[in-house]
Amino acid sequence: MKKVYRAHPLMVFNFLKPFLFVLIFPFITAAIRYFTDRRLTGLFVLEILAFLTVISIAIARCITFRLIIEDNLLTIKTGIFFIKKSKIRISRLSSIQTEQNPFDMLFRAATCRINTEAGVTRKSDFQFKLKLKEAKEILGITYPDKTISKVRFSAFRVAIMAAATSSAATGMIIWVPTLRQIANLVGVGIDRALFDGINNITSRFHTYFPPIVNIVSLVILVSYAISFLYSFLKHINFKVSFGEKKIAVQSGFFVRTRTHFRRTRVNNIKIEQTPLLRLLHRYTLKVSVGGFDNSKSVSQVVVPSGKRRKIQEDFKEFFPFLTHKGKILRPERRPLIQNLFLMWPGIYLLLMITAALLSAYFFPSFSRLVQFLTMVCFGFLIIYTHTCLFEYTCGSLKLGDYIFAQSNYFLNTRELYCLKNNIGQLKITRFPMDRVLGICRVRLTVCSENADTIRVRHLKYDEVVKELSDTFELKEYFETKDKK
Amino acid sequence: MKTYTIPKKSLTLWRIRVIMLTIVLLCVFFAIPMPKLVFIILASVILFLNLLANFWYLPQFMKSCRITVFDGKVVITRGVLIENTHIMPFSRLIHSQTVQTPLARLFGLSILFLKAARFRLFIIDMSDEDITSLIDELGVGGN
Repeated sequence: MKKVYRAHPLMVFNFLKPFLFVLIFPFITAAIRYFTDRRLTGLFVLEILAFLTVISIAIARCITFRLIIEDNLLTIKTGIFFIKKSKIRISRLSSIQTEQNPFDMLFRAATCRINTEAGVTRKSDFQFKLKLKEAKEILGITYPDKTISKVRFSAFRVAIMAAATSSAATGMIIWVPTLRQIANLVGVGIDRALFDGINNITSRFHTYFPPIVNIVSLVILVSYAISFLYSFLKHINFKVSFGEKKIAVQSGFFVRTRTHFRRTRVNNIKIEQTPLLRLLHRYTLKVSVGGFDNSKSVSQVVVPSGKRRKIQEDFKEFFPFLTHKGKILRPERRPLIQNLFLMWPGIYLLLMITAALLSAYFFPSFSRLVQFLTMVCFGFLIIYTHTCLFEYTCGSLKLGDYIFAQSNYFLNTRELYCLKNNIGQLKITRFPMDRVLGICRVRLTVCSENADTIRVRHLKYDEVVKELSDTFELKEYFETKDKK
Repeated sequence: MKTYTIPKKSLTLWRIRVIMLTIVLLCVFFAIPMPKLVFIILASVILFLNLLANFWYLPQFMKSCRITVFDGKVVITRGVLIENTHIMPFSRLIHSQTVQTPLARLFGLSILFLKAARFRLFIIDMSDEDITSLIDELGVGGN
């Protein structure tokens, strides 16, 4: 049966978005000035003409948009003069995402994002606005199987994940450009006022450390709070539903998103732990889907925070490769190998002490600032050392039809599960010292749009070769290599 | 199982490249005003590194390079100080690309890039015949 869908009128605004700051806002500002000062300039007339042209093109593009679903084929038709027609088999779709912001809710509209594995990262393959009812209908047609089970995560668990994954850097990325845009638009020195405000607040606190430390700490805390709030509001109302073939994830407070994808499109599963989650003994489960979302990552959070055993028990039914049986390769338990893991933290500690002593010697006026910075670095070093020790005690690799690897990823810990066929590249590295000790480092890269990787260090080379020979039928290769 | 090695003329090509780089560096040091002693030290270091590269590192590196194609996989081993083994299934390969510099063209050599999603492997100067044969085995279009 053939079904034809038209774009929601709000899609006009999507087409106008690129002209927002160069045409729409200047036009509105000029119109306000006209009504207040009663002055009509030649430039204003030109702006009206350009505005009308842009808006008529946007309306025409919106009217001509068509989404046709027929049998197993999805056709997207766009353009006025240059007509683009894209045909995709429904079975080849990676994910479909619907998003509703408050404005969309008011007009019963929804943004639809259609993704395939062929697309580029950070951008959806197709994005358009439909009526909410129609968007839900499309989800029903493309992923028709019934929901078997549904899990809802409490706001507390979402808050734990938001607190554990938020960072001051992310907060800064969110609020600094937003503030600049608002300041430019309003024409008021908001940044200056904010800086004065921060200065006023911090000057009330008298600590051992210099005032700059208070200012930086406050900025970091505010940025972290913004990042936390953003992440919390993005993931609140978190629900995951499982069908026979599909997985649907729903979340959001102001902006509600609903993402559907096939289970077969899951390239790998990651169970991750940030330093804060490590303190709480909680884990986050993420799945990497080939062709997904319009963000940098192709990972979808499925469990915001939970206990590892429970996660594995709940999900092994849906992802069989989450269970791993057979020989697990681990770094050898001996002091020398342990010291290898602690080598870099040791080097960093020496460098840090040297830098601190030299700075304090050459810049005695800044000795308190140096003390503060050294304390911060020392804190990071403790977390890093703990992560390295985790790598020594828990780092493991299991090869076979189901691949499993556990190690650290920067300051986080990561477990990676995938099918043998999804491995893109396997790299074995041996430094001169590794050859003497008979060990090696193995890096697994899972083929996906954003290529998840994991590195397991200091495994016994002979064991790795044996397991690789069995899993990837490389026995002949390694035998010839050894002979040579 | 088919194994490819790096041809001897590739070693000659890389030796020429290293010598050319040394000459350029020496000219740069000569052009920059600096004390004679500093120039002598820098020039000596560069010449020593050149000799080391030409007579030890490059021959060893070329010897260590092995490209083995069999049973739906390509295995690339290389490295003198740090030994690397890359295993890549054919099914993950998206496209291959060959790059030829004017000097390499004189020797009939090209660099081969094997591109998969989000990562790529490169194989240093192989002969054009070997590259064609390798691409045929991999089952992807070259260039």
